[in-house]
Amino acid sequence: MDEARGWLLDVYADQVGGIILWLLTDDDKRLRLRMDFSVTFYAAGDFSLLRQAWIYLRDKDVKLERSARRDLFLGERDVLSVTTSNPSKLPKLFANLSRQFPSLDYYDADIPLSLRFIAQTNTHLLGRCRVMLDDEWVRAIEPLNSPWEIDPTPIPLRILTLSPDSNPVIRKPTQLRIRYERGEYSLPLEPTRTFMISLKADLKRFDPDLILTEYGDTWLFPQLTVWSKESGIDLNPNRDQSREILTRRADSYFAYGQVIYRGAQAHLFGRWHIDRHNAMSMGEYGLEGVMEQARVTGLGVQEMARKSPGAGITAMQMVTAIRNGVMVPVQKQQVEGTKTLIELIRADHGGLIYQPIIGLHGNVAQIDFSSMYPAIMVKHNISPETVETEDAQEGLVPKTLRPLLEKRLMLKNIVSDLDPRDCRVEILKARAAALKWLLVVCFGYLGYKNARFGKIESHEAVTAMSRELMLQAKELAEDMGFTILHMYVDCLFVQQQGFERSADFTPLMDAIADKTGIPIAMEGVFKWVAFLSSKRDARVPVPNQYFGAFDDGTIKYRGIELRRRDTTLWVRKIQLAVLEILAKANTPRQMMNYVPDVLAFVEHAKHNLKAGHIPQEELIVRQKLSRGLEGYKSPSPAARAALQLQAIGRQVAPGQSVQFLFTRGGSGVQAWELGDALDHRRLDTKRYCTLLDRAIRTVLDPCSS
Amino acid sequence: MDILPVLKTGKLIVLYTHDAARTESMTLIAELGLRGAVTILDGGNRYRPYQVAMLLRRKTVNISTAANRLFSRRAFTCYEMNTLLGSTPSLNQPYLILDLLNTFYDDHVPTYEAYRLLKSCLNQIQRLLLSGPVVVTLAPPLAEERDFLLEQVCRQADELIIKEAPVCQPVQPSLF
Repeated sequence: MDEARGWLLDVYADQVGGIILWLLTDDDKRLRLRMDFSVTFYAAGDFSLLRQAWIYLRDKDVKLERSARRDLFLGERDVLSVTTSNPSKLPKLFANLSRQFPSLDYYDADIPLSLRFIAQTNTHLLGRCRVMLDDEWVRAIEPLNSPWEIDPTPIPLRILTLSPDSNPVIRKPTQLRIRYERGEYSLPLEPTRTFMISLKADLKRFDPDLILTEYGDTWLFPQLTVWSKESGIDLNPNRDQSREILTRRADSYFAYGQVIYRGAQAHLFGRWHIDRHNAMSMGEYGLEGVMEQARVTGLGVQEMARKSPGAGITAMQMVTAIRNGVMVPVQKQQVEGTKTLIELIRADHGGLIYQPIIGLHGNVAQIDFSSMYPAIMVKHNISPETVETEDAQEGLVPKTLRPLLEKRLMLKNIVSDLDPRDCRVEILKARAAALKWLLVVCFGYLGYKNARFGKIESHEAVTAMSRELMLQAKELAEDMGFTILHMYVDCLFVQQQGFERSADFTPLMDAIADKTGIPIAMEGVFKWVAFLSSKRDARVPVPNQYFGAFDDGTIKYRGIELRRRDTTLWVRKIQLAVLEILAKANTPRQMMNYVPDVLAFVEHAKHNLKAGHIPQEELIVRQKLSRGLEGYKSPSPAARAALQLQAIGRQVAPGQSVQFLFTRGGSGVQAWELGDALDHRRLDTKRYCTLLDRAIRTVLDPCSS
Repeated sequence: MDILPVLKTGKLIVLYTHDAARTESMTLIAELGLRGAVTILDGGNRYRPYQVAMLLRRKTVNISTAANRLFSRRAFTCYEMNTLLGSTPSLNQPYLILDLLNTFYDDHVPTYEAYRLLKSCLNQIQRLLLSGPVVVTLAPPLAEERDFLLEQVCRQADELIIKEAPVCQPVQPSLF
């Protein structure tokens, strides 16, 4: 028997039974390995129905057993367990069975294969492992590291970058830019045959582990299929040549209070494909972050790049459940308990908000509880099955979160100890940010309708605890002579005469951490900070809307135009520049001295706009369509722009962003993707100036009050 | 829309408006709360406890008595709605089911599954009708394909009250 060591790149079902593993070995080989692997799902419910299900499944080439398995809420249940040695057949088998017997409760039927593999073998994707081989067959596999390792050995990935020379939605690309290691060149897309031959040769020569594209999901890979048929050149971008590209259709869905559009997807086998334009959080934490999430969640890199962190948290909970012998329900059945009106009013609250004191304030410290909600869940053992029970064992959710929380805190501590110029800082920050997003969503998933292990009472328990801890922190701060200017869910803004440096606030932070048991960190000390009032009524404060300058000159802002996605780049740039001018002031009083500079700067910017000196890209407004175009009674500017696109045959789905310019006359907008050059004299400069004035008023109003 | 006089055991009243009778249902809950216990099953996050508390306060100084008689539960998926109805005991009191179909309109739930679950829910509603009156509020689906769910519920109603959405009048643009 041979032995191989390396990194596990990919796991998927083999069409003929068992699974395929891809191993990047220490001697830089890419091995396609096969392994016997059976998967089991369960059905529970009425015994007469289970008997019928058993009769239905008898001749389906599966192993059937009666067993007792644990449901997280109902305890042990007698179940019909259905095992198949061909995981690729499970989805269809389950779909047919559930269609035939819809009223049975199903468990473990839709667990991604990679998670089953991880739970069973204790290895992890992107992790190092040792395999014992009999030819291409894996006879044994063992992990050589853990996903919780702080400094895993970097994977020597081969990355090929492919990007067209223009956005295919706006203009037909003519060339494909190809980048590999240090080489970069362009391939003309025509003649197609030559292009296909060259690209095929490049793929073979470079044999990349990751193909990083721009518009790969929505343009390049679908187009390659078309060109392949046209030119007769068979180009299969998979490393596993027995597989075809796995495509998933585009869809719109409602989540986090908004309609979200997810473009079509092209997944590869044996290597990864990530489309930067269809990777949800790639911009936020980059490839390092995506890989970190894939490592700890067990979902593949291609999946994690395109899915929300919520999917990652669900995956982690699934693995915890499997490892602890708990079945994963296909449909969550737990419902809210009965509450009277008064109980509901008391329970159904969010985080604590203490309205800000409107205006400018000097020497204000912002202190934040670190990962407050997950920390509460872990410390107070809040999980759907433990809530309202006493002395419960560690719940499924805290068990899942504990290592995640610890890893993120350790990464953050390492980053804070490193010199900011250290080359590791950016990578560690990206990994910490990726873990942060998993922690951010874990709280919402306690109450999320589609969460596998959620219950609204556990969601309420977390916020109730957070409010209590915030009040404890407030009382402590006030006892120590501080004034609380604002509190928002997990952060406090505190001030005390004569306290100017971070160290001055350390005793307060230590006292809060001691009292609450939740770590608290200093965000910074503002030399000045402005809390804003409502635009409708200047007497009404608005929570979490502020801007300020820390003592090192760094600016922080929340809730103002700069943070809004629908603000044009031009307005954002000017508002930021204005804040930078104001940040020169060391005290609130000094700010008035800089107002003339701000006004002159803004006038100059408006002059440039009117003279046509601003690139039109900076004036693009981006807005999301909240519904289908037929759903608008009086179309918004975005809908009007989408109608223009529809007129030329381009469909825009709900949740998709539409880019446009404000123009004079006509419909008042021009869709950016029309691609037509717009004479700058047709721009609605008055409207842009109004947008700018509004943004400038936001930052100047506190100075004048 | 005065529903109180027509409420009686065994009677299923369906209110269909563009917003699942948001205002009317809160008024009804408050009125019923003043008279006795009420079970509220919320399928569309429509229950507004503060609004009900305010309505109660207008009618009584003893708000807590009434407030402690309003028992509510929420469902966030059609599976949960089915479980919710299945686990609701038959009591001699009115039941209000707010925006019953909201979760059934979720396009991630296959049509056949929505149909099956609604059928099961309607059976449970028939069970509850044996012990008290049931008021169901409905709102239109986002997609026409789910219209059949509305019909399925309305067919069972003893009384169907429909309030059309107000039509936006054209506004004369000002000349100056």
